[in-house]
Amino acid sequence: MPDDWAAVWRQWTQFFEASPLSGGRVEGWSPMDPLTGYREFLESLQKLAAPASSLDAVDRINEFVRSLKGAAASDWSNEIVSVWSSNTAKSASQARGKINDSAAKLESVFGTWSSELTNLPAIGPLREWQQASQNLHHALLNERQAHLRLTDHVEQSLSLAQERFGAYLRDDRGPPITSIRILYDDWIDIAEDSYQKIVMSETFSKDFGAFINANTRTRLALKAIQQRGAENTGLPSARDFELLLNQLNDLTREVADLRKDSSVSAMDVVSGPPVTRTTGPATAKQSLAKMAARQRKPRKVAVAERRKNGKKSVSDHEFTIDKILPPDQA
Amino acid sequence: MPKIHLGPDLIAQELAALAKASARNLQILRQLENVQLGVTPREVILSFEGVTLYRYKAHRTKTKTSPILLVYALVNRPEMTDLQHGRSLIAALLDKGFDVYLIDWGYPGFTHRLVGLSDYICRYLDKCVDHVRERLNRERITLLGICQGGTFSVCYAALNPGKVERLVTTVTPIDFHTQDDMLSHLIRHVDIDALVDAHGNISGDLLNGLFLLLKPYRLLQQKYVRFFEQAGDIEAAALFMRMEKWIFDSPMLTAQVCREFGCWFYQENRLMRGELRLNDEKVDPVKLTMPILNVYASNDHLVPPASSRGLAKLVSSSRYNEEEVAGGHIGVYIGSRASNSLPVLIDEWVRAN
Repeated sequence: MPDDWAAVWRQWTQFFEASPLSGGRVEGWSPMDPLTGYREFLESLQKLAAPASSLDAVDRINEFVRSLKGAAASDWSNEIVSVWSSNTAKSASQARGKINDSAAKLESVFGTWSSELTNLPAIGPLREWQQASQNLHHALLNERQAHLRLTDHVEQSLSLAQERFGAYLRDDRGPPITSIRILYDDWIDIAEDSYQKIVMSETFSKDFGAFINANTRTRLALKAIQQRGAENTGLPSARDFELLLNQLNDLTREVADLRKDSSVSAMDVVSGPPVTRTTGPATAKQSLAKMAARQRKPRKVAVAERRKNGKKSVSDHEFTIDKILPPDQA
Repeated sequence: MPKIHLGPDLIAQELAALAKASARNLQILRQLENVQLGVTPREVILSFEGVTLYRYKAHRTKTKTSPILLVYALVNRPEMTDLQHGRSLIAALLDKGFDVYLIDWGYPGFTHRLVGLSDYICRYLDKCVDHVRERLNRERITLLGICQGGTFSVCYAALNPGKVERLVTTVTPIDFHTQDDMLSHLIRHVDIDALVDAHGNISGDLLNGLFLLLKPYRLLQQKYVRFFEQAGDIEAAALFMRMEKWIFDSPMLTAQVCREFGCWFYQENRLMRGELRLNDEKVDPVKLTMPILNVYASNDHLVPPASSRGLAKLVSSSRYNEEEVAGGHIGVYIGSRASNSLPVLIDEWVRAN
């Protein structure tokens, strides 16, 4: 395929890339943009056709396409496949480039200090800080490696998709492709299928898990540093919030149990002893009362058990609970 | 004969038409930014700990004898069941004469981190079921579980068979280790305990990212191309916008639910293996003796049919029915033919059972 024709094709794929259709830039995109792109496309066609002054532009292109179809259909298909998937392939390599860039930035930020810090044993008054920083450094490096492995899978799925799409286009069987829209849908089908094939492999599953786990370790390493910082500056830390939440959670459940017990007790008073049903279904209240009669332990026994297990009595908390929780939270 | 019959003139025409349609559809979308979800009038009949129980107002004065309680999933919002006129499962059930209730689990926050499956199933769901039973003075009601809400309903019915008259599960994951379960495949090697320790609650954005990973080309590209190429139909654009709003309005999953659902169900498949315990009580599928209708979608990429059909291996009910509905995970509820399939199926089954 001549370079100038390939340039026209690329121009259009770039036009797609710049339009909201690609899910890319939306802000500032106006209905005029596609028209401008269209005009530029026509100008490109004119330019392409210029050497053949005796023919108009469209005839020149048609002649060119016919010659391509007749003489080298496989090349034409390959070129389409290559250009079509170049944007997605480009995204994958851009992602890889970004990972490498960020790793390089990381190295430059930490610099020599980083490598020395990582290699030196953590001792001395700043030992804990040094250890935490080393953990973070290792976690970041591991995450980078895991991300690269995942990117390899993505590139592999794109290569597979390109290969299969090319084979599909070269295959004469099946209905002809008469619009760019059909071509696009066919590409999506094949790309998605290729992606699924790679993703459903055991290797991908392991590498995906490894990446998420590596990212998790980075977050945990960061949290450890934040924890230490919070402790040194007298600010509440994540651990403090965890403790508060645990207490709140215990209280919420205990209040819920108490309220359920007390509401069932009230029902017992109202409805008296369990009723033996003679006709019709038992009501919800009767079922609840029966269930409670089966499950409820005598109050004194429950409190004694709690104390034996080293737990505070519910009544120890009751005053506070009523202050903390609105009635509908039980 | 070459496969491609494309000339530059045709390509130019097609792209110009697409550009024109895109511009038109963008203009339409700008008018639809405040589009609302949910169309059927409803009243709050119970509210506690961020959970809300709704009763939908019946179109008819006379309703069927059995009320039906919709149990939705924790991921995404239940508005999908009442998206818009003509695409509302709730409205269709009301039309059939059901007395419809729905649990809205709300938006969990930081303080809900330790709220786990026992809370959702044994406390919240139980409280809602009891409320409806007491309100109607009935011993048992019908549960209709949707996706993960179906899994919850199965667990609840096994723990409380005396309170569930009938059980309807729709696109419900039961067997989490089927060959084609991509979601399960993706998280099989993830250290979920560590993930939850690091993140706390799992954000809706993270969950959405995981779901988009299942079909990135279709969900991130083709869906939008299809929308932008259409002929500027405002109704279609409104549906598209409602779907966009619904699908990306994702509540976070509490840390404890993520830990338990991820490990117990996705990684260990405890329900299927008969090893699940909630609130110190075994979830025993043998107790699922009530009539059961299990509906799954033929093209479900999130919950493969084989996963839903796992229920057949668990239950001991002689009145177990399975039905396949054409469509995907969401299309079952809001597809163009949905109002003539799922509600009709449920109605006919309830009449027979």
